[in-house]
Amino acid sequence: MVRKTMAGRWYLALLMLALVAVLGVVAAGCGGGGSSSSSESTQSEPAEEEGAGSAEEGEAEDASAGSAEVTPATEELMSKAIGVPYEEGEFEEVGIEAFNKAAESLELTPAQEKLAFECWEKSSCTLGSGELTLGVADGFGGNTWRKMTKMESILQAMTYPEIGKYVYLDAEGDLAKMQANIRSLSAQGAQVILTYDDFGTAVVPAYQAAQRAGAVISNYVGPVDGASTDALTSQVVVEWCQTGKTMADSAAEVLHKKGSIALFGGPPGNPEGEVWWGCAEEELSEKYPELSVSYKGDTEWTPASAAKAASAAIASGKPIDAILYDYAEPSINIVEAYEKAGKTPPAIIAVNQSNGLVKNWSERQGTKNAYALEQTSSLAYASRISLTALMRKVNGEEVPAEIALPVVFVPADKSQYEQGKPGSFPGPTVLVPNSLVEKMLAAG
Amino acid sequence: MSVKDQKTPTDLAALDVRGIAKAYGVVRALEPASLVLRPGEIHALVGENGSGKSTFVGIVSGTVRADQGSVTVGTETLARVSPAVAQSHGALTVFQDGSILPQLSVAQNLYLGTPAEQRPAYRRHEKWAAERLGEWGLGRLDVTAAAATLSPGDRQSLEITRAVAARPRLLLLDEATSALDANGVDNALELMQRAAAEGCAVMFVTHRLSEVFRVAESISVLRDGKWQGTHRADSTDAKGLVELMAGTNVDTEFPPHATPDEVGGVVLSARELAGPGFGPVDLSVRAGEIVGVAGADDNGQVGLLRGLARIGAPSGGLTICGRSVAGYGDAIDAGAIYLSGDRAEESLFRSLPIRENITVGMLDRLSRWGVIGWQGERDLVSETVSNFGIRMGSAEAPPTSLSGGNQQKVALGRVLAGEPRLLLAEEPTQGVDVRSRVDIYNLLRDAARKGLAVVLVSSDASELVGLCDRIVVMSRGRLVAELAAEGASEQSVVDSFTAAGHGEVGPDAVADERPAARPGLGRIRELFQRHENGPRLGLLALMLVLIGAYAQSQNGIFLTHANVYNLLFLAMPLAAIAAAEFVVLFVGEIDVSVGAVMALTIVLMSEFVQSGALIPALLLSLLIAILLGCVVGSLNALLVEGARLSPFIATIGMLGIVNGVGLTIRPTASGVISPALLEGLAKEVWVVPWAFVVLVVLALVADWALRSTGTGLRLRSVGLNAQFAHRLGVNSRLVRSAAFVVASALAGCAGVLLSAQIATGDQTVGASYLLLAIAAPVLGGASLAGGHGTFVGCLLGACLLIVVQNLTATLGINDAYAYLLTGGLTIVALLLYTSSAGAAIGNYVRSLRLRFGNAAAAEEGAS
Amino acid sequence: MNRRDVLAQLRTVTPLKVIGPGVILILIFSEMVISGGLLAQSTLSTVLPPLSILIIIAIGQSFVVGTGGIDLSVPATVTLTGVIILKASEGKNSGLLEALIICAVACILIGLINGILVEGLRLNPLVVTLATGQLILGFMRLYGGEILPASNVPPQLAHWASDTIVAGVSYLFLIAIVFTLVGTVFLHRFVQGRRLVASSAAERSAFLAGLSARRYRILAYVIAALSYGLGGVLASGEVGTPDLTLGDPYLLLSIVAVVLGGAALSGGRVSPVATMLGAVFIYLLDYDLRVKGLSGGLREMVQGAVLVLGLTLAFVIQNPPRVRGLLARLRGSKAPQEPSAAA
Repeated sequence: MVRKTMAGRWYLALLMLALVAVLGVVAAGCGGGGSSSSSESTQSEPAEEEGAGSAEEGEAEDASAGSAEVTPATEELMSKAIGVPYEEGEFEEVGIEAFNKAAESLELTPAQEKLAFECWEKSSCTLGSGELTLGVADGFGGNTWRKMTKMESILQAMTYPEIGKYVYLDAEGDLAKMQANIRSLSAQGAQVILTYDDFGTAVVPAYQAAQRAGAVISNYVGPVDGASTDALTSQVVVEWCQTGKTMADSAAEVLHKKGSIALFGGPPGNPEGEVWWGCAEEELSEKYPELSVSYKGDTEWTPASAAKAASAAIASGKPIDAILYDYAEPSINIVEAYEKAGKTPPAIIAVNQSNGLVKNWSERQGTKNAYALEQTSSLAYASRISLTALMRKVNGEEVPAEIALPVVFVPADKSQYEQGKPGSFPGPTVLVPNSLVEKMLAAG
Repeated sequence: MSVKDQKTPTDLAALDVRGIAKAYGVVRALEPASLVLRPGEIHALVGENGSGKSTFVGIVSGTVRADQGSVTVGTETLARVSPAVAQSHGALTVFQDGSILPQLSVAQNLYLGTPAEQRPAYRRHEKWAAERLGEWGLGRLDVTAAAATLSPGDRQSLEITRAVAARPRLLLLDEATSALDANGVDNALELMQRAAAEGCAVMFVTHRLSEVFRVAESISVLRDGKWQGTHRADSTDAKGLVELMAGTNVDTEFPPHATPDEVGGVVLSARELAGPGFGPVDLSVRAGEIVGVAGADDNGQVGLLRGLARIGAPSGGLTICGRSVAGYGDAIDAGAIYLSGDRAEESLFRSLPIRENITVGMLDRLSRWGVIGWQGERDLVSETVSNFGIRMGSAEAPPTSLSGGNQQKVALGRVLAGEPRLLLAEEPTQGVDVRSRVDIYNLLRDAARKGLAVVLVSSDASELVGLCDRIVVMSRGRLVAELAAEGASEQSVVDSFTAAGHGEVGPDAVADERPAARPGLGRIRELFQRHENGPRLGLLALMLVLIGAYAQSQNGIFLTHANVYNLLFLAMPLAAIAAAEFVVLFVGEIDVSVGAVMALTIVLMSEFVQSGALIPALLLSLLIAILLGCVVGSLNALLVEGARLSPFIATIGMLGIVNGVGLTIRPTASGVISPALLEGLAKEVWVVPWAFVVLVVLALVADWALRSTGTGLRLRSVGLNAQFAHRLGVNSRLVRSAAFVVASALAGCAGVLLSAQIATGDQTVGASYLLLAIAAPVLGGASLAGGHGTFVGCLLGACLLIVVQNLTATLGINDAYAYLLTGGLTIVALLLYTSSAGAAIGNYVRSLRLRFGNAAAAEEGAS
Repeated sequence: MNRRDVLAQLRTVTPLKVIGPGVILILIFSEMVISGGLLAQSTLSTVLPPLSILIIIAIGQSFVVGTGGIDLSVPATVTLTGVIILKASEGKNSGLLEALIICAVACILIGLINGILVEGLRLNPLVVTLATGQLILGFMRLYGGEILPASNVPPQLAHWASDTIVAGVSYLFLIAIVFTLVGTVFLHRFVQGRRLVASSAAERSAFLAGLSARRYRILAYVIAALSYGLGGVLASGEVGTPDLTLGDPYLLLSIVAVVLGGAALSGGRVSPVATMLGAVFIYLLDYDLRVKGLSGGLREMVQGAVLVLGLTLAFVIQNPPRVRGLLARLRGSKAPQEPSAAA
């Protein structure tokens, strides 16, 4: 006994020492973190200005460009894509043209459907006899949303006879691989490149190199901070600041302008998160004095990390009545974390759309775990607009540097749930013929 | 001589040792001992196995750290003795288990072990080595041959010559004549006398008294770690020394030999048994009989003993208790058991408690339905402990807490608990104190009386004579004589094998086969082993060409200017970081933090190198990279060499810290890096980025330096065998520490190259290089054990990986194949480069053949 | 037993002596950090499931570390089981059993391949498992196809993995505890377990003692892979929608947990209980820092520092003479060096 306590005292003392040292490191780290983030904000300002400048330029060009007709078929398609009836002005001209082309792309012969499907299964194929090579550089192609956008880009490409070869490369979330892919596409002579940039500015030099080598590139669902037209000819963007404000307004409506709100975002400090968090907070403090932000959580946009962040939020003991999150799919895990903790889930207002989340929501209606849910459209059609913009550019027309997408939050509705489709399916706003979707889902 | 001469002029004492002592845990290896040696004096240090001789020599030579006392060589009191320090003061040591690096040539070994001031420029080392060996009577050795091809005797002669030729002030020889035949011994003793005549103080450690009296002027005796005094050779005799060595009880009481009626039927019978280093041998052993195998060291005794248990798949027939034995498993089933002399590695389980050590062979008997009963196990342990007289604190302590004798009793207890019918024991009393030794003799004899057949190998002739009923003598792998123990004496045993050593040697003698070049496949194999890098690089290049040709045939754009440039541009940072990792791998360590350092460099560049022209920006970046590398590398070195953490774990910790710093500065990709720098880095020469050209040139220079300079050779020796390198006076800790620093600095520079792609501060880019940085050098021929590979190989490996990863982009195939190719190529490379893999497969095939052959033979016999 | 022996025993640092107090400290620290208290149902229910999965995977890793190896194929194996669950069951309860069987077969295969390459062919474990990790990822992509038929695991698995027994203690935690205890009993009281330990700790000794040492060492890799598989299945159930990042956190974390549990990377006996405590320590540390609102970077930094400092401390405690010597040398390094510099 004696020797045990003696030993115990020793270790206790030493471990305490270690703890103190660790806390010291933490304290030092916190200090460092604070100062560095302040320096960062000053740096990012010029970049923003630049972005704004190019946007203005785009608008100016917009007015001079030719117009596209909104046919009833197109309008129907646009309404489907947004999730609510289309209001005039929600899409710019390029967008309208893209939807015209999209409507065209949905009338498929069986042979075309087969070709599209085969192409979708592979990473490279020949869509037509045209001379252009279309490259798609996806930052992370591993989820159903990306698979759907891949198909949307294929279908849209099939309406352009100029396009021959189609090459799709998936970086699997690896920045270096993404850059390698862009460079490789360019080295292979892809003149038109679509990209979903999961890495932001980091890929810009690769874009610049590729554009210097003669390609035109467009990023769908951006923006890429600080990328001017020498990097990306045109970007399809979500206006994140506006989206943040809209989310705050939606939350105010759901909570009747009173309560505590948690903001959930992607990896710590990611640019879009910083933008919309700031704007949402601004909106709240300006308009709703009784609403406050009580907690902020980082996720990696993966289910596991969302669950972890939610459980940390619960453990923090802060009141949370609504969660604003920029990615719908992992929200299921947030809901489940609350249920596990024996608490009623807060209202969720999330960007994008998830079949599983709608299901989760509808199953809980009328139970003690019922929660309010608002989502946007899946925005899966964005790649179509990107492609159309690029094709205009290839054909010698001017295109705006930024094309904004309408982001509308729609309260969840049982009709949004698509029976028999996986939880990750982005919902009814996908513009791929259902027969093809079924085939894709069965192909696994 | 043990009297301290206080006023002795310092130039008279070549060595002055005062009160050095050493304990390993509870075992006191050496109690305070003092000794003064004059120049020109030949001093013998004698004692039995485990008496502390090697500890004494180890302390003086600097490989063992003394707990107390001081060592003065010449005029210098060595504050902290290391082999390098000792050597710089003129003290050279020839170690018991050698310090010859088999992968290096004879000349390189000679060069490595010679003090710096006597070494010529490295490019002349072969000529120098040939001259030097000729001068000292070893001119017959081919200085360009790999040391692995030398016989054990030649290796030992080489070591002795190496030390003597350096004309040291103090020469220490620790059992340095063990592998020598009579001629070799004569030669070695002559060398000692020659050194002494030139004023060198010689201390040689041995247990062969005959050698002692031929050359030594004074003799010290150690017993059980206690200094038994120093004597003049002419005032003492062998008997007196033996008394001192063994303690007051000179005549170790051996149990009586077996009476004829105690000897039963044949238990073991071997016909034409032959394996590595021995055979063919015929031998049969009966129940109740203890058979000793005698011979000069390394004449195949241990090989034979292992062969008798069918370990290592020897050829020939072997029957134990009437059962044909095709493998060690069969031997066990037939009732045999092997007790190795290497307690640390082969007979004890050091990390398990004594209890589990004792019961490991008895689990079936102690269990019901696979569950071990508490009581049964406790009973067995206490029974064994009391039967074998094991002195210990707790059965839950590891066996390392015991003295050598008690450790051996634990091992013997485990072996005998299973009541085997045949025991094959290798040096059963090595490193065992006298009292335990007697216990062990009695235990063995008791077991024999109950019907156990024992075959034992011992280098102690008195033990063979006293314990065994029959002694077979081996020379050069063959049985050359058999003596009945009755009437044999120590001298007659030793004479029998020394006589054999002088006798005629058949042309097929096994020991002689080793140095000779083997024909055909063997010769090619040897060539590959000596020049491993050429074929490896060739193979890599071939794979690159094949994959490239395939890609080109499938898609014409592969060999376009743009694509080739692109591939090299992408390969550049991977090549650099592979080179960084290679630096650590080369000295036998590993560093998983290189990717993080690379990323942090970019992060720091995005803070500090946001603008500026190419040259200043590049210089500033490199400065940042190297400074960062030095900081991280020093911390790694401190953790690994200072706090003795496993390099893998230490660098995982650093990986976390470095990533943390990077993520704190740049939580997400942001910040810009001087566009001039990025553009400059991407500039090309023909189709190659210029930085890649620089990398290739640097790699070639570094490879040349590693292969063709003395410094390179010393670095390589650390990778091949850090312990030997340390003994040879290379400061291996410093080398390894430096390797960590250089690796981190190189990783930083790799970061500068990667910035040309990334262009913004992003800490997460390092993660994907974690595994690739290890895979590329391995593809290039580096081994995680150290000492192998080339920088050029790293470059080629990096290119190969990049090409494979880009196949998806160029061929449009499913990227699953890129993963499969990366993994598959790595395993293939590992298989091709790991010589033990071939050996393992060979062994397996041989044992299958044995088993199959035996089964066929049995069938034949049945029909 | 004399005083010397007692002192010697005191000085021997067993893994439990270090990690035990460490876990107690981290528990106290957590209790202070987490607002509702560590034992509140809301905390337990969210902390325990992922912790349980880490424990199971870390114990798997400890089997490999016990042989002196290291397994870098953990993340690939874990992710693979997630994919198999989705693919083979198609998200339906009826397909769950089949999926579990395929998982088990796949894990046994992975373990066998790793084991045979490392133990049979004597290849370096680190490089082998690095390479097999790539192979697994490759096969997974071929097997999984372009899109998975379901993104949700069968509801039964999800339900079961998230169900709690009492006051926030989930079944997963029960499984982890049972797994730890069964592992401990197996390694200590079962014939096969003992032989596994002996073969892992000292291969040559075990072989000469008559054990099929190599087979047991290969078995260690198989058990490890099966543990990753179990962890992967539970993680899929817990997350509900496993994706290709399911296994990523476990590459280094599993090794860190084993090492914090006092295991030497050179092999030897590894204690499942100590490994469990190691996992608890590293997980709670991360959780506390997360609750405190520290950014990912700082969390990683603290974890790295704790790992390095903790092990350095263990070294200091274990080697007081060496450390004293080092200090003495630092203080007095000048004195003996000067004359030699002059000479």
